[in-house]
Amino acid sequence: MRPWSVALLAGVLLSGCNEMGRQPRYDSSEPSRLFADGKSLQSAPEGTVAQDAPARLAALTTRPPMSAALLQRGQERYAINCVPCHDLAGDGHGTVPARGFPQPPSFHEPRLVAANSAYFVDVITYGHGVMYSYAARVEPADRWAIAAYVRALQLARRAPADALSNADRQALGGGNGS
Amino acid sequence: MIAALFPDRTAEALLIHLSGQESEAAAHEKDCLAAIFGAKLGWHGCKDALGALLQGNKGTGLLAQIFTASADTRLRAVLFLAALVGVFLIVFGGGFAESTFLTAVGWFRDQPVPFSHQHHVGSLGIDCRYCHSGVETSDRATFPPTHTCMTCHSQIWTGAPILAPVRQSMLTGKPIEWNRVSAVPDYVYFNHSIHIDRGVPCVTCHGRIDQMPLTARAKPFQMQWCLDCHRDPAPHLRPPEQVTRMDWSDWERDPEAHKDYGALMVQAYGIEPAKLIQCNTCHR
Ligand code: HEC
Ligand code: HEC
Ligand code: HEC
Ligand code: HEC
Ligand code: HEC
Ligand code: HEC
Repeated sequence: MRPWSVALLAGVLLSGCNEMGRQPRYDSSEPSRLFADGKSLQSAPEGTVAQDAPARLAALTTRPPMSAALLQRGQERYAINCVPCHDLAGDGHGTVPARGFPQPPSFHEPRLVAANSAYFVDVITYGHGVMYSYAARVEPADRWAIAAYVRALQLARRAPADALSNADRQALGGGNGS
Repeated sequence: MIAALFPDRTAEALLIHLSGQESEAAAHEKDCLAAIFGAKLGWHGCKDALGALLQGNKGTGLLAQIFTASADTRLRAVLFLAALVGVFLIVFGGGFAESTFLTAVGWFRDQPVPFSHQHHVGSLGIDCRYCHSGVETSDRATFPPTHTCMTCHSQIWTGAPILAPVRQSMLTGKPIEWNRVSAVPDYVYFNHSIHIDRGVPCVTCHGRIDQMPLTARAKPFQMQWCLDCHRDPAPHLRPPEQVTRMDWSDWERDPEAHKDYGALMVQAYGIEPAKLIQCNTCHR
């Protein structure tokens, strides 16, 4: 074969190999041969303090003011992170305990009704018993939002019917409350 | 095809020239030419015969002029082009480029743990963001760290052999190596957070994940597919707080009820399709 036909053939064959599709860079969670543990995403050396650490700590220790937006955010985060076990109403009858996971306590038991919001934030941050920590998955501000929503769930179960507006009572069916 | 390589007049002139000659070699050449133009001998057969003749230098030398190195090359070029056209026809005409073999749609991959979205999302009802926690805030949806699996599997299915790699990973700190099913090439920039923020539901791009016992790609992640939506995103937009919802059959069944939603949202967000289809949106 002549050199040019070899070159042409090589060109055509190489167009099948897409070099640009696998560029020499690491995408997140790609394996790496550079490090002994094979991870491209290395954890920070021991003792490292993240730049946003003070802000996160502040968010964790100061309770945000109650607002409808906070409750809404809390409802969404609660649905994502807590509902599989604690269920929508907070009784602890989620789908996962139904498959053999230890039964979580109901949020409506007097001990937890009496607990303050910071306690819920603590449970989310550090876990409790067999429940793992959610610190990696739930941002500090969202932990307060979830705590606020759990408060709302608790209140919903115990609020006296006459505390509701007429319209709300009508919507709930009847008005004689229970 | 061979005849096409030689201008008619050359062949004619040659035949006339040869018929005037009486030598034995010329007779051979004549036979051979007749054979070529009559396509009796294969190309190789005749070339060999010619080669022998020419090497013996008994011929008139005329054939050597026709069958120069460049004639040989031209033939190869034609054959090569024909092969290329054939490949092109198979790839594009025959639908190979669209076939699932290339786009990987619906093809499962072996995973270190046979993780089932059908089980975890479909029957347990776990939200996508429980595991893919980066999806709202970063370009990557991210894969769940082993710690997330162990939230539940520290207590259930604790001895199951299929979960052994998960426990091993928790012990050693070495992440589970999932095989990707829905990656785009490195020269494409994709970002989840903007799509989620604007209310493009997961199901539009990843299909009914909640019905997949093993994860497979649901859509051909080709440029055309991205562009089809970027040209007119309105019909694909949904309320952002429901992006992880899988079943939108009520919207699709009743397009009238929601026909204004997308258009209004495109306005509200200030989405400009003309900008979305510029090359540097995705290739940067
Ligand atoms: C995988 C299932 C699971 C998920 C998801 C889960 N929990 Fe729990 N939770 C439990 C279990 C089980 C317990 C009981 C733990 C024990 O007593 O050992 C518990 C206990 C609790 C308690 C009570 C602690 C006490 O003093 O008894 C609170 C409060 C709580 N969880 C809040 C949350 C919140 C908020 C979320 C969402 C961010 C959440 N949990 C998600 C399983 C879960
Ligand atoms: C219990 C955790 C969990 C939940 C909940 C979950 N996923 Fe996954 N997802 C995974 C794991 C683990 C993988 C990697 C293994 C695999 O591909 O099956 C994965 C893989 C994927 C992939 C394939 C990515 C790739 O390129 O290989 C897509 C797409 C995906 N998930 C979408 C979703 C969507 C959409 C939802 C919500 C409907 C969801 N996931 C809910 C754990 C989860
Ligand atoms: C919120 C709880 C939860 C999380 C998180 C979770 N699982 Fe599961 N998983 C379950 C439950 C519940 C079952 C089913 C048990 C049953 O049906 O008896 C299960 C079953 C399984 C099974 C075997 C059964 C099957 O058919 O699928 C595998 C494998 C599995 N999970 C892998 C994983 C992996 C890998 C992860 C981490 C990405 C994970 N799970 C995260 C709750 C969870
Ligand atoms: C507009 C289309 C689109 C939407 C909507 C979308 N994805 Fe993706 N997803 C992609 C593409 C494209 C990739 C491949 C990205 C890459 O390889 O860089 C991907 C990759 C993934 C991956 C693989 C790992 C990673 O970190 O990127 C997961 C997991 C995933 N998507 C989950 C989800 C979930 C969950 C949702 C909904 C909340 C969602 N996706 C919505 C298009 C989409
Ligand atoms: C179903 C509709 C849909 C599909 C499919 C889709 N997109 Fe998008 N994309 C959108 C919408 C809507 C936006 C938001 C535009 C805005 O807000 O300006 C967007 C925005 C983007 C942006 C950000 C643009 C910017 O200004 O920063 C990128 C990058 C992008 N898409 C890449 C992709 C790629 C790559 C694919 C194919 C793998 C894809 N998209 C598929 C709907 C889609
Ligand atoms: C909405 C996102 C998007 C935009 C805008 C876009 N592309 Fe692409 N492009 C892609 C994706 C995704 C692929 C990967 C296709 C694949 O894997 O098959 C791609 C692939 C390509 C390829 C490689 C094709 C191949 O088969 O290897 C070329 C060349 C290209 N794009 C050029 C362009 C040019 C030129 C423009 C502007 C006119 C453009 N692209 C605009 C998303 C986009």
